[in-house]
Amino acid sequence: MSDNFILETSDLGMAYGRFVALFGVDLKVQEGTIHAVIGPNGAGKTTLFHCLTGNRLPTSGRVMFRDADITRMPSHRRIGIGMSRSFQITSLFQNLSVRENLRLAAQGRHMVKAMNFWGSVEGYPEPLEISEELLDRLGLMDRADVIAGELSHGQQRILEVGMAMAAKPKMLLLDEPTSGMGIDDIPAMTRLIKELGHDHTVLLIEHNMDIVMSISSIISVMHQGRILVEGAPEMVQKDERVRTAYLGEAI
Amino acid sequence: MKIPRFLKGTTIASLVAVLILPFVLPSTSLAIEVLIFSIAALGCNLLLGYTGLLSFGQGIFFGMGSYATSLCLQRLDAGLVTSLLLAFVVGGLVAAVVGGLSIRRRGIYFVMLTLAFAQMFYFMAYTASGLTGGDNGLLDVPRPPLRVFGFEISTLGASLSYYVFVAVLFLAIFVALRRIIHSPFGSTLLAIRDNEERATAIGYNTRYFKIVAFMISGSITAVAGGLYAMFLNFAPLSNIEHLMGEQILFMTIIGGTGSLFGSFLGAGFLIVVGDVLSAIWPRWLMLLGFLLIAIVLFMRGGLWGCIESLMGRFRGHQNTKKDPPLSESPTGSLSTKEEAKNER
Ligand SMILES: Nc1ncnc2c1ncn2[C@@H]1O[C@H](COP(=O)(O)OP(=O)(O)O)[C@@H](O)[C@H]1O
Ligand SMILES: [Mg+2]
Repeated sequence: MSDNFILETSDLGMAYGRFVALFGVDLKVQEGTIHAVIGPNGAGKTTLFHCLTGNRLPTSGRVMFRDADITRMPSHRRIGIGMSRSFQITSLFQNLSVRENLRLAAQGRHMVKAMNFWGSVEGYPEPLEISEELLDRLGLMDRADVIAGELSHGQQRILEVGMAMAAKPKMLLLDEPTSGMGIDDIPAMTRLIKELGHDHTVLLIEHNMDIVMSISSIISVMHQGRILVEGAPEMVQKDERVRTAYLGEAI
Repeated sequence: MKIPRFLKGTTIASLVAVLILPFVLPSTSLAIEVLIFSIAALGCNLLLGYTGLLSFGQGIFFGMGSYATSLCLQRLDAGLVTSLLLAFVVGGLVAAVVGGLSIRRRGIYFVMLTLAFAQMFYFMAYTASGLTGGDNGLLDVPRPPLRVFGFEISTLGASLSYYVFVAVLFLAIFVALRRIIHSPFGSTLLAIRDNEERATAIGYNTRYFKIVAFMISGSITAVAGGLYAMFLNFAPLSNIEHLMGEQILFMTIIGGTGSLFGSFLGAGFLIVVGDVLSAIWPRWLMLLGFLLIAIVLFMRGGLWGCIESLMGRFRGHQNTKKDPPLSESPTGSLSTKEEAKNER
């Protein structure tokens, strides 16, 4: 494998007030892979995402994306460099239709065109086309005109991921896409993420071990704000330290 | 020929309303007042209804508009169109400053900042009596004839001709706002209202959108202020008081946030009812408090929401008579939501 890292952090640290949630995280994400981040609740996975996507400013260290330092880049500008995210807690436009949710997500890539206040929405076809394409791909076509808040939980989670896809990013950061999903909906989501791995780099936070083991090529295990172990799924599965970390949670 | 969406629906309703208003109201001046405040409420609605920003600063823009127009007419001896254009520009610039600074905070702190600005501008106007006339306001504001490229179109001397002028402006602003709301920009405002965190995550610099929304709102409100000064032949200090901003907010909320036609209904309702009630009972404003509570508690869509649900029920009723719904889906509620979307 050549070392072609799309995303690299060095000595990344982050504190909420006096509580330190991340300690010197060095994460390297190989381009074109599905890279999973696992770890017990409170390990700092979401915090790591917040720092990578600009939702939170790290208190130390750097974030490099395609060899550019983006540590302090505001989060809305990261769409433009090819990075987009989904949220652990579903974050949709609850009062707008499913189609409109996706169209808006596709429109966000071109700030200048989105600022046009005199033309009509129909006069800017690209986001419309992307939203149709995604409705089809996500299997939400028959729900296109429904208000997003009226979707079932499983469909909302699918749309949540779709919103991140609409920006046509190079790298997707998915924060627990299956969170709260029923057992029946999980295979569809797994398939979707696996497909996304074909033409994107995916950084995936996931609790469901079956999914993680079956689709990711590399796994970073986080524990108490640090990366504890990193390696291929088989290796991680066998690692004693990983077991102890998870056992710690159970007690 | 295909008629664009922004010329159908509520635009037709507004046109009809404007045509009958002077005949159903007891006086033309009341009709003029209704339309002037409809314009102000439209400006407020863009912020409150479409961007989710509760601004107490609307009185600032209204007052600045009336001062700008009056001063331009009195001191620069400028024409009507120039004076209103100046109000438009001043309103937009002041709104860029007030809005730009206020949106640095969210939620309640944002609201507090707009309130603080409202107080600040009031005291500035009060203190700068050389310009604003202070407590006495600016007296003898002229209402010059309407000239376009040197041609005198109307003297605007008679009430009805001023009404026509205000009505044309009202309709133009109504159509322009509908266009804006259905533009990529306007659709993004709705997204920001719904979920700003997500809007940021999908690439929108929400601050730009909010500032531009403020500027449009400020410009429109300032034009209303200018029209009001020419209507009264007077620019009182009360035009820039925080009560003015509150009144504009009341109208917007009573009429229905997120519906442009609602702004007309709200302004019409408050001014006409105020006119009737104040003659009977000077403490009528107390009733307004009750009404506002009732609207917030029981009819969040305001007057427009009521009309809409009545229309929806009526249609639903007709549908069930004609043919039973084919599916189990709640067609009634969906169709009203669809309408709500189209009427935006
Ligand atoms: N906004 C916050 N303020 C203070 N502490 C927080 C905040 N968000 C998360 N934390 C704390 O930071 C730690 C890591 O949280 P998080 O990154 O959400 O973990 P994970 O996603 O791995 O479950 C937890 O101990 C959590 O309580
Ligand atoms: Mg988490």
